Amino acid sequence: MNPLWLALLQSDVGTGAAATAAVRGLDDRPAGVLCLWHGSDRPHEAALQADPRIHDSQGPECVVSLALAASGSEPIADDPAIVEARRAVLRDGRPCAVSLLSADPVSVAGALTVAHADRADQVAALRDDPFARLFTARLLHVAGGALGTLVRPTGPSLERYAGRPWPYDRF
Amino acid sequence: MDLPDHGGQRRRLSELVGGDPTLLHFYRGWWCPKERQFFRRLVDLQDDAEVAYARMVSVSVDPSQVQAAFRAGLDARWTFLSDQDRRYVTELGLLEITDTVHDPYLPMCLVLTPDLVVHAAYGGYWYWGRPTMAELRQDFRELTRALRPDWDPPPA
Repeated sequence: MNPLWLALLQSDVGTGAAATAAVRGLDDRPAGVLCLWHGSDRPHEAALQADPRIHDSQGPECVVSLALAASGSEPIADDPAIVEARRAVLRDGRPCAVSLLSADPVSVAGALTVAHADRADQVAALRDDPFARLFTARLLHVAGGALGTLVRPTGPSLERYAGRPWPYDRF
Repeated sequence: MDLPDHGGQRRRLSELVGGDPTLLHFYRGWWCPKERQFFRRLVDLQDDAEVAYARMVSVSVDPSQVQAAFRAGLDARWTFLSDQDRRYVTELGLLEITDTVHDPYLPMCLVLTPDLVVHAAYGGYWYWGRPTMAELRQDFRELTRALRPDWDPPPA
């Protein structure tokens, strides 16, 4: 499966994205455009890799928790805090999709947790995002056509496969 | 096999197994002391499995909510599947006929390849048939060695 890249930009920069979706804050103010690309090369300086299964061109409107590390202080993926956050995701069995975000095979730049906007149980779970304890997190509305596939790990494996963002699970 | 998991979400066994060796574990239910003892050992094993590209799936006739509570109490971090309607228990020949109250699965551990071939089977029942963790490690090792071309690191 082709790598997936995503970035929250101020506007659609027209770089051949596979999908774009308008983003609003919970206060309903515009918060930019979520752009998704497929391919091996990084398509934009702000783009981060995510589990490619998270892209859903038929996906519904979603609410996401976008947790991002401060630039220059991204922890390694095997940092015990990152491992424990992944364990928390497995342990609590939250009904959301989740993907680590990364710019390289070693470190973690953040995490994206995705809830369907019409699923109150999923949206409520975003308020206890384990990655929000580690990074600066925002809750955002994302228009349909970009996200929504329920990507969930089987467990207990936490390993990354060929450096892809967890929970992508194939070599 | 297509069943709701401990959170009530539908899951297919083929997707849960993905590309890794997987322990498919059928158990009677939370009430069975033999199962609770075995789960304690599996919970120890999960710390090794989480860093070794192996998966675990446990199946019972308990409702999802019961499984979720049992799983949380165990601190298990793998997927449980609920066959509350007993869709597969007869088809798989795993009905525990001596328990006519619960109609549960017989305790059975299957170690699966990614294409769902049974590599090893361990029938628990009443006695000593459940696998030791050493046996499961050996099964995972054999399957992983056969599966991964980079089992041995490439020469420098």
